[in-house]
Amino acid sequence: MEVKQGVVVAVINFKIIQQRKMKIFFFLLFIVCYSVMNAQEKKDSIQESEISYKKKVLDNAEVNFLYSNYLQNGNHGAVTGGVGDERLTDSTPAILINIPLNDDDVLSVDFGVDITTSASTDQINPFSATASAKTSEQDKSGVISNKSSGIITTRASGGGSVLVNGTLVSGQGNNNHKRTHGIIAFNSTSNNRTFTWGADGSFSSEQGYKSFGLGVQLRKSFNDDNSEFNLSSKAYLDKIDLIYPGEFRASEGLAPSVGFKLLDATNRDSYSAALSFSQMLNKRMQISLNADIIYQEGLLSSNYQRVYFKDKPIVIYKDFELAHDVERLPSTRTKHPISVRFNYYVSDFVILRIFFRHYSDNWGVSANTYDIQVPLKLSSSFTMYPMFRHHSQQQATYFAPKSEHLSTETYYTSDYDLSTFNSSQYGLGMTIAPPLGIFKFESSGKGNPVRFKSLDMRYNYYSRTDGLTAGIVSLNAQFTF
Amino acid sequence: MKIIQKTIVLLLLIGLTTVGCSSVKAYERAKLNDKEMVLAPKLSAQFESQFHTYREAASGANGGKTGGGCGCN
Repeated sequence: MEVKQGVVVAVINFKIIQQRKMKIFFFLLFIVCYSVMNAQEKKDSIQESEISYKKKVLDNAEVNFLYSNYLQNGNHGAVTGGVGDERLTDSTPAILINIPLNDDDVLSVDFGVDITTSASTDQINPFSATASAKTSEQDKSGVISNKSSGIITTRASGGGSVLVNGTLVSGQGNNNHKRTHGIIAFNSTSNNRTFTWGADGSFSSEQGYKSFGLGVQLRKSFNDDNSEFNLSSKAYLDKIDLIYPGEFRASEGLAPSVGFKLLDATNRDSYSAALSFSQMLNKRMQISLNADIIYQEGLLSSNYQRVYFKDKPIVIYKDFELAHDVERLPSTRTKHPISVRFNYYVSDFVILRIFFRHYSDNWGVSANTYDIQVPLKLSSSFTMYPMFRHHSQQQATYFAPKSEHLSTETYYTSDYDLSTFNSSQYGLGMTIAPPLGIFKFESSGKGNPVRFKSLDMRYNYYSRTDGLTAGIVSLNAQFTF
Repeated sequence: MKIIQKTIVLLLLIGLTTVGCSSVKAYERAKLNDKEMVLAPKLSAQFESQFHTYREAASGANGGKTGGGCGCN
């Protein structure tokens, strides 16, 4: 017994040491890179201290009005254990403002709101008699709407949305869910323009989920600006309210809640370091190589997603199949993607933009992503760009479809986002960007005229081999003043 | 181990890209300075990147977010 306890303590200690090492690694990596880049920067500054003219980093303040509309359909909702409709809509208006503070420094403010409507909301607790009313419990459960998932046609109680011939009928349970998010960033560039440092703070808030982030960035160009290193490091500290499916709430008095093991973490912390190297290859080609390392710890599962075991009996209550447990996943995850981006100016008419990423993590997921865009410059101000993206993914060790997990397993999920699949995305975009802007509003005062600088619009259709489909339209209208 | 392998691959690629490529002078960069040649996704692509983060288990190394505030892992 003592030996067992000793082993457990040793394992826990090892994990704690590993986590600390990871955080120290990120910190030291950043310090080392900063020191190297800063030393080089000082050397360059001494050499070029006689610079009499420098171009502004940003000439005019920019305002980008961004908007996207997303619609998704599927039949592998994770809230209902890997079955059920995944219909979801999301509208996101956002604004990004870049303000030049002086010749060298730029302040950026980014703010947006996600308004999501999900068919899954009611399925967290379908037993509540007041499911259709906006009780605080239901409002709270709206937190899951981003994560999709399901509705089943056999309702356990009145209220909520119902699928009829594939159409979502009644807005009763089809609640709007809102997420607000913002970033404020500061970037400062050296006199000789070869070194930039920056810092940012971010937040995101939705019902039951809060996130705060901090980030730092460094950029150093050399070799007459032909080469460039970028390093960034970010930390996100998230706080999660635990919301369990109805059958696990003691208040409902259902069997699964007896002896149910509550989740013990309410935080999700993410630390990342990203290194990027870009190089001009010749007058028409440039390439960038990117590597990230991302470490997460805390509650990495979604506590409202159900799991059904094959070695436990099925219990149906009010036409609803009661889950055996909620999704359980390890409390740490390390991701290490690398990617290559290559742009080729083929001719004055055609440009080629290619992106490839290889991803793997310690949950067993590995994936390859290819993305190709072909901007066609139809005139000096009008560009159309067809796009294609392909993603193939090997599933996480802990994934299995509904009723295929065993209750003896430690970790399990039926979330198809972690399954094996291929996905394809294709679409078309267009950019209108005349050299002097689309039009300008003359200013009556001393300030610069407001210019409608450019408009970018794109539509993409996405399909996954497990049946999930989605469409997304996005636009960006840029103004300067 | 995978991290070490990837680091080696990345360093090799950096070596290959820097060796043999001629230095492009500032006045020769008209094409490289074209907006479509920027080595980053367009601003309007950030929404697609966000939903890929939700719907796919892979993320990162594309200049997008790598965590925080999305209710997913």
